[in-house]
Amino acid sequence: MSDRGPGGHPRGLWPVPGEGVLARHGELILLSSIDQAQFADALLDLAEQAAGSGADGRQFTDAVADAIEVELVAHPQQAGSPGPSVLAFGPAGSGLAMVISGGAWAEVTSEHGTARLLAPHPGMLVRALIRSAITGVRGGLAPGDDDAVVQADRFSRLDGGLVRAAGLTYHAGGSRAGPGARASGQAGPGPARSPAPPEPEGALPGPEGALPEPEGAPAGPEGALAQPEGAPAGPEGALPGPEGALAQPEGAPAQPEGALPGPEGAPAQPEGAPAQPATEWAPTQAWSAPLDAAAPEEAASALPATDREPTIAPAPGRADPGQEPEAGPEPEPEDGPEPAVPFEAVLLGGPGAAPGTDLPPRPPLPLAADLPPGASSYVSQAPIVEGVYCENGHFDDPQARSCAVCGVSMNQQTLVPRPGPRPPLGVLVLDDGAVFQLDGDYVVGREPSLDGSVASGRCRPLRIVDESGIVSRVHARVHLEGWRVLVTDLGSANGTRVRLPGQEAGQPLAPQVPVMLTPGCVVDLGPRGFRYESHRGR
Amino acid sequence: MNSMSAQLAADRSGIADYRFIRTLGTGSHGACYVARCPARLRADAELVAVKVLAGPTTRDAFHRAARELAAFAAVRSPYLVTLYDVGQQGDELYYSMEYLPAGSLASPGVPASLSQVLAAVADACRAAHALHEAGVAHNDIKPGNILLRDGGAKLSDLGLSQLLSPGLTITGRGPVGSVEFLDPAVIRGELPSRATDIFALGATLHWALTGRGVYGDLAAESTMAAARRVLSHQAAIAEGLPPGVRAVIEAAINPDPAARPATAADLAERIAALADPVPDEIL
Ligand SMILES: Nc1ncnc2c1ncn2[C@@H]1O[C@H](COP(=O)(O)OP(=O)(O)OP(=O)(O)O)[C@@H](O)[C@H]1O
Ligand SMILES: [Mg+2]
Repeated sequence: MSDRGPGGHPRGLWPVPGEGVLARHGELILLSSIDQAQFADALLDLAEQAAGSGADGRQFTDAVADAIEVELVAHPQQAGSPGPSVLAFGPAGSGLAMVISGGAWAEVTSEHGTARLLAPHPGMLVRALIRSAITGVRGGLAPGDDDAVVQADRFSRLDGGLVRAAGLTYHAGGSRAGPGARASGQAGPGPARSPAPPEPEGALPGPEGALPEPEGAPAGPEGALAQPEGAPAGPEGALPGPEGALAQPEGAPAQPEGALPGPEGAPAQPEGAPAQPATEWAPTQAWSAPLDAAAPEEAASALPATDREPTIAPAPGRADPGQEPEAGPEPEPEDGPEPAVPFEAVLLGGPGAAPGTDLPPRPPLPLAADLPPGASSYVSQAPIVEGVYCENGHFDDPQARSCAVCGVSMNQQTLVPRPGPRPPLGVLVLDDGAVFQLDGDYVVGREPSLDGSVASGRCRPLRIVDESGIVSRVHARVHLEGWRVLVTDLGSANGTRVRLPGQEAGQPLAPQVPVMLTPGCVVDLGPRGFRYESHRGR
Repeated sequence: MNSMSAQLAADRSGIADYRFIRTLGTGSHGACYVARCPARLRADAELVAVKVLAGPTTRDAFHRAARELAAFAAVRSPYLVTLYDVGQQGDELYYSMEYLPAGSLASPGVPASLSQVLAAVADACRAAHALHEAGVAHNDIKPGNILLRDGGAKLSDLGLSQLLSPGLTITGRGPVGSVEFLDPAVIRGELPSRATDIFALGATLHWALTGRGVYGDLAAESTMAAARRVLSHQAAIAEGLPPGVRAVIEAAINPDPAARPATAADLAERIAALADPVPDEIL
């Protein structure tokens, strides 16, 4: 249990210096960009109000998501400029509710591992509900500022209020429930917790203190909240327990807390033990916008691909926080100890459309007539090579006798080679009919991504399924050099052969020695293979 | 591992929080299922169609696909299938959409009449036009992605192969299906465009009216042979079509993109005009 903060602090929230604002009100945490100052102010107010009214992470992130949606609608972003970058989270049930928008990202760690969440597009908004107890969260306002987070300033823990920051590191601490009620997953919700309170508690008076109040007061809501999380009443019941338990450790306000645990905790315990563990573990379930009460549960039961279960999780309507916790039927127990498989989803259109899914509008596609002749829109980023333009404006190999696109003869003209973007040099047609275009290099094999050049992004993977295992995991590379297509055996176990059109048997390749392919050549990798096709050279 | 699971179409019971009720079929990108609509979608539907893509998907590919599908979903057109969500579980990617029970133009629930075929393809043209105006090329228009409904059709799916596996223009999976509707220019590496979708619409109309693709009957061919055939032959129109229909298809699949109808909306009009010729006696 590395519940230590950057400086060895057991738990807490540490800002990463930078442009932006980090606010903490109790366990509600908000990180926002500040270039749209008014909007940032609005979010800060919202966080404060939410904490003041006893909102939990779900209600808080609901409100933040709504605010972002309103903002995006009111001020549609110019194409290319992302909306506000925001990361907000807070405890929900035994886990954590989170919302991410713009360029913000988060890395959430539970005992099951670490999941990284970010919006697929800056104009989108991602909401996540992590049902298992989390141990830590790292996050930042811009993708790629990952490393900066490591630089969390160990001497500036934020226990409440706000500071300038561009990122954060949050440690839930040992048995803290709030966000990381990890103990709850374990057998004894109540008891398990207790150990934790001791140390961290002292440290975090500020925030902790804040929590209790909100929680205590709206005991009702808590229950309600929990419910949505755990559709299944069973778990729900269990959850509150932990909550209560937590609260207790939170300790300061032992009193109010005490109240909660009592009722809820009590029942929870018994139930919790059996049902809970399984569900708790649903590592990270993320989906956008409407967090539906039922969803997590359903997910949990639907997921284990291995054990199919006919039961359909009752789809309790979306439980609004505050709604009364109806004890849902719980498919829970059936799932037994099977950990649910997490999934992540982004809502697209439809009635439940995610706020913020509005992408910057794209310009209409050009009309064919408006494209300059011969300017076929080749995939961008083509490397620049020396070539010649045929009389119809097609860019060709200087050695070619006729244009590869229109076939016009290029003999008569004295063409001066000029640099230009290289068009695709043909295609590779796999023996299963798949076609890959030769506008880049490929590593071919059963697991081509094992090759460093694929990992680095220099080559694309061309994955071949071969049950016999004769094809090597990293078998061969096809790469383009100028206007030539070359194949290299990468030291495969069973070798590579190249067959000219019409030939019966191919030439074995020496490992690591590139060989040029001409159109119609077949490359054999044992039981599988592909053929190089091109109009070029015809 | 997981790559296989998507292929075992019939064997799976769900993905994410979707519970599959039955399998709709497998295509060039993966398999499609009917599932119950999870409440979280807040969709006013009991059933949805869920497509699970074959093969493992990286996080990057998921994000690219999510972006593209969101762009599709953002286009408001009555001729486009409504999308609900896109997600990733483990390394599997899925997306869900409205379920249209009447089947596709490739395998209609009840055989489609001539006027139904024309109406369906015209609707698909209108859908494609809406996408084009929003800066999206479909890149996988074919009979199987034109889903029938009362008096017309909706266009579904998007060609995602390039996004999921850079460089891949034909997946080699599923029925030979996709190859013969794809503009060969795309196979050779050009970006999908209005003109390449218009080619696909023309080839689709041809198939729907004649039962044959513009490269002849590829059904018996292996997928590799089919791909090679398409790469090495010119598209050609079957004999026996009424001249008006023939002219429309000919224009749409013209090897010179600039000679095709300028927009899919233009093509929709031409196809619609075939459906209701102005009765002479009224003139
Ligand atoms: N939303 C839907 N409602 C009803 N049927 C559908 C829906 N989507 C797909 N289908 C049907 O399910 C089957 C499989 O579809 P799928 O999209 O996987 O394959 P495809 O359309 O042939 O290929 P592609 O992957 O290129 O779209 C087809 O028969 C298709 O008509
Ligand atoms: Mg389809």
